[in-house]
Amino acid sequence: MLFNTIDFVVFFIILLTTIVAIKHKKFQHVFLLIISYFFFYYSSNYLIILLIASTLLDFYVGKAIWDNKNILKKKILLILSLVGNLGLLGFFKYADFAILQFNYLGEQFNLANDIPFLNLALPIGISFYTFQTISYTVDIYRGKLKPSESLKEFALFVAFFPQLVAGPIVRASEFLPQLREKLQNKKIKQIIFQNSNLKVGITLMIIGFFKKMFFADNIAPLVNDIFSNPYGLESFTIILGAIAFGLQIYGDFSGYTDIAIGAALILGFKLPVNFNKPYFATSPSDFWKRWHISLSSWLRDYLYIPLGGNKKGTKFTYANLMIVMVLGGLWHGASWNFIIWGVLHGSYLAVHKILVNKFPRLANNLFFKTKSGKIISIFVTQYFVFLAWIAFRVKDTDAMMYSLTKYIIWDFEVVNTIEFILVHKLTITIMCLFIIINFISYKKNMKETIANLRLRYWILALVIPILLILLFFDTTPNDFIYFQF
Amino acid sequence: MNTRNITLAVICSLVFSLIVFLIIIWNLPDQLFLTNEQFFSQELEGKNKIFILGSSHVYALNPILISNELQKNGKNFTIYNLGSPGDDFEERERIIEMIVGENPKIVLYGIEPRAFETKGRNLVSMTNEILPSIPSISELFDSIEFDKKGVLKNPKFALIRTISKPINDIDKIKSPYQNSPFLTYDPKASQIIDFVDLYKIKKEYFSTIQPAEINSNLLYLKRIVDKLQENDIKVILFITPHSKVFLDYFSEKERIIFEDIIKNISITKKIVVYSEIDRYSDLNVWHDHTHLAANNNTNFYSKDISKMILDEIEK
Repeated sequence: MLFNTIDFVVFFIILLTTIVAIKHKKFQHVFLLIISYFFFYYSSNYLIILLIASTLLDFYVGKAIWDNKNILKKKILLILSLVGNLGLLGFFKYADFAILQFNYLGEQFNLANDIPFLNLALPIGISFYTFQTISYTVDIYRGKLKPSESLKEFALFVAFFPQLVAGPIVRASEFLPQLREKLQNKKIKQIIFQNSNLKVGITLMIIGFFKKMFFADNIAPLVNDIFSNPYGLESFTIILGAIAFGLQIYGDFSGYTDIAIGAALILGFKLPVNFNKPYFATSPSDFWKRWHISLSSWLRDYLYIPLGGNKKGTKFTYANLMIVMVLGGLWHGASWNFIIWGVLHGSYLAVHKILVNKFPRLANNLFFKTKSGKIISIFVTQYFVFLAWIAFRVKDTDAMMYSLTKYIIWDFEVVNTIEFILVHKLTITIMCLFIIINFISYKKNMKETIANLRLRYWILALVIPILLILLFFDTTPNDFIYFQF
Repeated sequence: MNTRNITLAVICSLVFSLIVFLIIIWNLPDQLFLTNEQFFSQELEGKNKIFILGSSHVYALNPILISNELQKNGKNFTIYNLGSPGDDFEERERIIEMIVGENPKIVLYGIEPRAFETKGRNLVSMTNEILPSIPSISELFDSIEFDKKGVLKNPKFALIRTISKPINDIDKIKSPYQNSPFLTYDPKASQIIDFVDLYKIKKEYFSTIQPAEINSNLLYLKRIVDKLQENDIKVILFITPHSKVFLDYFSEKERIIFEDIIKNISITKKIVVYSEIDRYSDLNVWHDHTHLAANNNTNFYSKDISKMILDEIEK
């Protein structure tokens, strides 16, 4: 089910009304689980089986790891969980990509028979929920987490509808305790609406819808116009496209996250923050502390550190950074453009680390602590971030290479760009508005400011985005970009 | 502040926004509807009517000339060129009932590659359903008929159209041909520009023709054809002529996609699609890359279209 549909509004109202009407704790939890499955089934149909399979596998394997004292057996069980989860992910997400590469190799060696494609449907949210279940089992294996005593609670952790299809990637240690009271022998918690949560949650949801339906969806046509066939376009048009896509994906994904966090908060659950003004990052490593935080921290804890992190010398550190970012890129989808995107970000992080290590004086130069120094750092960082967005957006390798070349080597022609700007006047205006709002929110936490307004002003603050969404809503369905991952 | 107050505040803001939205939408002069309503409210001459639809690519078609050509062959039809600049299939579908209401014998639709640029609005592919699917509430809402259904279907379009109309209409004049109520164009559109100059106006075609399976414009065109065929109106599709300059810039990739779209509609709707795309491409009769100059030198366009109609009538 898409958040930006009337279906979700009806679904959410029914959910809230039922929770308010029936105060029975056990019922509330079971109902939340059933309705989460319903949410998933609505758009994924039979693929819900994979979600249930992943849940059952990790619940029982997690329990077995905890109960077993033998290290070897624990290891075997962990491998079983990893093989199960990554097997599901790999098979459904990467099988056809692997076949394509095999066939290509076969062609190079003149092997006549192509392996037929499986043409599997990509299960929505599989990358998110498999990562959640993997983190659960690994944390138990590391002794950091006690397994959930109840299958129902674990199933709710995996399937909790706000974060189910596009994150944030929640850790069991963050979510499971929220199902229980802090005191009173940790009995299961009743879901009650707290006024502060309700107001902040609603504000977050409205902001999320606004980012997605007003900004991202209205910027999308410009991006599609530029990158579906970029050949022959000028450098400035490509730069415009890269900026537009950067804003679109931020509006789209952070919008989704805001709706998810807001919806969860209304129900009394706190989900981790996923974005923290990423386009104000002053270095590549700073960017990854601000963009898709739940994924970057997952990759750090479950991939970078197990690989040795920065403890095995500089060469291994750079190699580990590259491996993590390439796999992070591949996590987004089975396509070379995501791998290239990962390689680019891996290189940024490695080069930045080299610079910091080799020239510590430069890194610690007081100029970079000043306002102008920060502005320069932001512009340089974002130049590279937006360069990588081209690789993320343009699937066709030749078109991507053309766009990247134009982005790097400017031709200083403007005829096309002016035409694009004239054709997409509204989109450009919306982009400027988005940039201004982001700039304001850099200094002031807009979500909190709006949520703390007095009721009558709060109503007005909600009316403006709702009205703009209604007026500029394009009825052609627009998926959330991160649904496909 | 208690929960009830917050809930009331949310309801208030939703209701207030919706009311303001409806007031704006209801008061928006729906240009497309109004101009069409005005035209179709009058009694149109002729018992046997033929309507030509399309974008500015059909503005060089002279309805009277076509009518005369048909008459020479003993066929008595009144032709109306209902093409309008920037014709959009989604918008055209909104007023298709008015066209059907006039009960024309034939509708000729001039289409061109750029009519399938989706401006980024593509269809979303959904998961195959093996288990029973749940009925969508959005579809239920879609089926509700509003008085101003067209505007509510895509308020953004109506809003932008209204805001940009005064700007777009500057320097535009009405078509010199009779029975062409909606065609306005640049007064210089009758001028022929030679190929040397046309090549100088190098224009990159940043078109985004999406494949047939996700092309929303194709979906709307199919709906239009369905509606006409359901009402026993013969539909003829033809690809409008383009200059060799356009054809030189038209990429191979997009040509293949466009041909696939044409094949798709031809097979699914069982109609012949006439291609005039390169018929006059080498002639020195072009106003720009995609528009024939609208003057007596391009009367052959109208004559060829009348032959097409005759062929279809005699089938």
